[in-house]
Amino acid sequence: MNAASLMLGANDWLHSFWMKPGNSDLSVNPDGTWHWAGVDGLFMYILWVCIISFVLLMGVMTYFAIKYRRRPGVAQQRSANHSTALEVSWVVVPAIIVFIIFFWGFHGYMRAQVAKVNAEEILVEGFMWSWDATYPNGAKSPWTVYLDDNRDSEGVGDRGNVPVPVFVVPAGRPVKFRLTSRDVVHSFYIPDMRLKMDTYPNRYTSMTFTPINADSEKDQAGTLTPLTAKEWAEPRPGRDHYIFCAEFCGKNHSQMAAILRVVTEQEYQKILAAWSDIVGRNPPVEVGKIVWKAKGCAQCHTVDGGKGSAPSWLGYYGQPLKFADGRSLDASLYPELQAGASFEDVWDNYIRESILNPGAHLHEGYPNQMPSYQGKLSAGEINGVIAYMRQLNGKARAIDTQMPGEAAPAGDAPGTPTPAPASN
Amino acid sequence: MASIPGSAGKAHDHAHDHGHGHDDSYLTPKASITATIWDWMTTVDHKKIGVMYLFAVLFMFFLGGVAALAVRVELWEPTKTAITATGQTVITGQALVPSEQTTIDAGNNTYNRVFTLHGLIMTFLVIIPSIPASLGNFLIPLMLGAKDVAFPRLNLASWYIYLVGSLFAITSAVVGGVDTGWTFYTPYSTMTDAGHWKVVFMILAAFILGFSSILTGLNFIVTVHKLRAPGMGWFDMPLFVWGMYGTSLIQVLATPVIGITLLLMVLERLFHVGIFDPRMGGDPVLFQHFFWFYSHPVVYVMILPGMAIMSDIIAVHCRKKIFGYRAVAFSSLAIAGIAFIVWGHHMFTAQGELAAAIFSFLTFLVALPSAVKVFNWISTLYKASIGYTTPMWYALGFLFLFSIGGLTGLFLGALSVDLHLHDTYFVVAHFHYVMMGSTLIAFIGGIHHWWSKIFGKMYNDNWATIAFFFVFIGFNLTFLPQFVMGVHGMPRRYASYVDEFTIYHQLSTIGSFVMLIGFLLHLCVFIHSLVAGRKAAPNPYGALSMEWTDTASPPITHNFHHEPIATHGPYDFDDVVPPQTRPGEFPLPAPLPVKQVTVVKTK
Repeated sequence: MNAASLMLGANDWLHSFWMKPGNSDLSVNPDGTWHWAGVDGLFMYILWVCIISFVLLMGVMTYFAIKYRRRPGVAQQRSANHSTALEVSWVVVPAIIVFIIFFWGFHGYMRAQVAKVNAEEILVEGFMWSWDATYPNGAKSPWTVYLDDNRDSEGVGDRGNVPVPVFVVPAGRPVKFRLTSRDVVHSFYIPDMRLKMDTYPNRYTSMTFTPINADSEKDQAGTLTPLTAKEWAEPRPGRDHYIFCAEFCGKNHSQMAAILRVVTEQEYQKILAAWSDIVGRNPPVEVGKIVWKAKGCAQCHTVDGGKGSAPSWLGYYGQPLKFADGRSLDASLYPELQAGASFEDVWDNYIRESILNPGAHLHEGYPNQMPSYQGKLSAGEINGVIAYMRQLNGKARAIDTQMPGEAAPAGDAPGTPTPAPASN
Repeated sequence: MASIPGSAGKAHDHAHDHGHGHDDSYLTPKASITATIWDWMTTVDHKKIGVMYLFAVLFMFFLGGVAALAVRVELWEPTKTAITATGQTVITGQALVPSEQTTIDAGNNTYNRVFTLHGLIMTFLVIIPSIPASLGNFLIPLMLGAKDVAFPRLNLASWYIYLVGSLFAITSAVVGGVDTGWTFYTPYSTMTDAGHWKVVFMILAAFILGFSSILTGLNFIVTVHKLRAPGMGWFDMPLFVWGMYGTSLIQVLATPVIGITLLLMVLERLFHVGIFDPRMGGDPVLFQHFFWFYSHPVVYVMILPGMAIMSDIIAVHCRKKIFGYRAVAFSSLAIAGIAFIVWGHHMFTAQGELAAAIFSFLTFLVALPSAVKVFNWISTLYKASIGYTTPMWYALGFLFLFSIGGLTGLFLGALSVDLHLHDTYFVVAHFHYVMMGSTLIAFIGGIHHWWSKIFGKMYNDNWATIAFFFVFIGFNLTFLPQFVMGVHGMPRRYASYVDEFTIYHQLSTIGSFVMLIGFLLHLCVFIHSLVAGRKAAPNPYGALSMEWTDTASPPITHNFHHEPIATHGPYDFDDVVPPQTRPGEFPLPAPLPVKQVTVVKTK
């Protein structure tokens, strides 16, 4: 083995130790090998600069430290304490090295800032404590997973009960994320793409890259935990990547994650078509379940009776309820209801009101901290949430579990304001 | 040198209006305990104020360290929820809250408050005041041959302002603590714990502590300009004083900016004046600019004093003039200057392309003077006479850790790589190598170096060296795995994490406890020294600066019997036999061969 191949071997080993495999044009070639012009290339250059400088510095220091230790009877030698040539050279040489790093880094940075012309533009909104993505056709992701494969079941998950949303992007096509925030500063971080960008409530920021590889994780050795999607009859092919929030944003900052799934272009189009019509393709209870997971409800409301920072949905619907102002839930709160409305009609109305105007009647013992979902959920989705809560508490009606179109129209077409789904 | 402190007790003819014996050590107690306490509380003696700062900072270091250990314990394993066979929901991996009847929220909430407390204490109450306020206060007048700092009463005022600021911070922590992070990023910091006064208290604590820094810095600048002993030019000052001078410049110029920023935050919280919160028409990025305009220069307030201590320790324990004295001195000023124009590198993910490019370029400029210092220190070892005392071990440890801290900065200055590493554990490890591995290591090294001067007692050098190795190994074990974690994508300030990071977190937690053993050993060594330490000679290491050569250990109340006169540079070990040492203890090096004499600069 000659010196060159030894160096290359060391280089590859160091790279695989430090960097997990990347999956975008910012770090790897189309065939999956990492390339020198990208982030990984610059990382390796700096790593070698560091290793060589550190070994040289510490080697010289150790040699001097041993050779010139104070020994009884050995007189100290005199030596120069200044050398212009030496001192100029150890400014100039590092200057050249770091300016190479600067230009290299600037080049890679601009590639992540300037989107290519045919980029697929996806709007991402951060909020406390989840992410919401809107696709060009208006679709939003209903998919969620638990981060730990071994605990991928209802109500049980790594890092709490919280399921995280799954976003898809097509392989081989440039993607541009337009980023903003609904409340505080967050930071959209995809480690495998080597990218992060802060999100602000008063402006758009962006990031752009071209995902390379849509091969399933399970075919690849040494990659991150494979993830399954039980919501679908069979696992979708695609390569999964963590998305983290990297800017501290309060209590559940560490649970503000998501999954980026790189799929083929063909798969991507199919998925987007399905996502654009959740209400039309699922029975109300399933719609409610999807909304609970995908729209941030699960961050605070459990469905297993467990404690959260808001009331659990289990053992809730249809029970007597006290408010923070001492009143209780009854028909007198909603004069617009028809006379003779049942207690459950009152409950339906209360849930709808709490989604759109959470502070109107505050549950006793909980702070007023829920954001309004006005404009964030369609009437069909709100209806789904109510149906899901009915089902959780054993009060489901037949229509709640039927596919749309199987029964009589529910009279809650999206966009039509309804004071109460009392007609159900 | 002009006076010999060994002659303590000799009669002096200059007038005094003090009732006590001015030849006594400054540590000599008064007649009664209350009188002694009152004397310390009202003292304007820079030495006593320095010692009080030293104990206060070490106590705060203990509190901040406890918070750090709590953070490490919580991160031993990720938080998980499981449902048992009997249908019970069980949460595991939350070490900071009782495991029974708790929630994920409660665990996260506690963790966020603990790491914020760690950051706030270590930054504002430990590192910023650590070296300047304690060792700087004690040593600068002694090194310059002055009786005190330029404004002794202002110095006492700074100490009480520090106490008031600490009181505010501790009060805020005791009533529940804040979860803003030490960076106070808006708009979260103006929203969280709405209506509660504890966040305002914590902000005010930082505001008040700022004044302590400004006044101390001002005092040092005037002292260095006006109170140098006769014969001492700027380039005859010990490099410790040069470092302190650079530090003080930054403190005076930058701290008012954070003061204004924190006041604006209080206005926004209390009176809803929209400055940083977009819902009220403000801009959160404006806060980041204001914050880092102060907090980046303050990074150099933290590291310059560490470098200052290193220059002195290395020169004295190597018995050699610092290689390129002027380059080291000017690099302190260069760092202090460039420090003001690199703040944007904390915001590569938050600002426009042009700004990012400019700040990245300037950031690489600041790497150069830092590198120059390391090269100079290592060159100083060449043909030195290295005595392996605890301070020297700390100096070598510093060079090791500061090299890692500095080199890893290259990754973060590079724009494209920083997009990946920003706000991950890589950054956490990087700044701990600089702040703790360099500044605090230098501080502890400095305490050992000047311990005998400050307290007049020697400590057990062997045990202190053993403690050093615990600290050094523990430190690397704690923070090296964090570099790997960070590159793998572990974001900072996470109460929990995905499984693949577990092994690195566990190594890190083990390392933090190894460090704890080291620090406890140090504490034992110090207590043993105070109680039963051997009496120290005035100049045990054969140094040549005035705090060693011209006064006793511990110094007398008025520092010097006569105003000292500088007759040689602080590091002229080639030419001057150190006074106050036994003959032959520190012999001059052999004469140079004739032809090399020309390159040696002698006075």
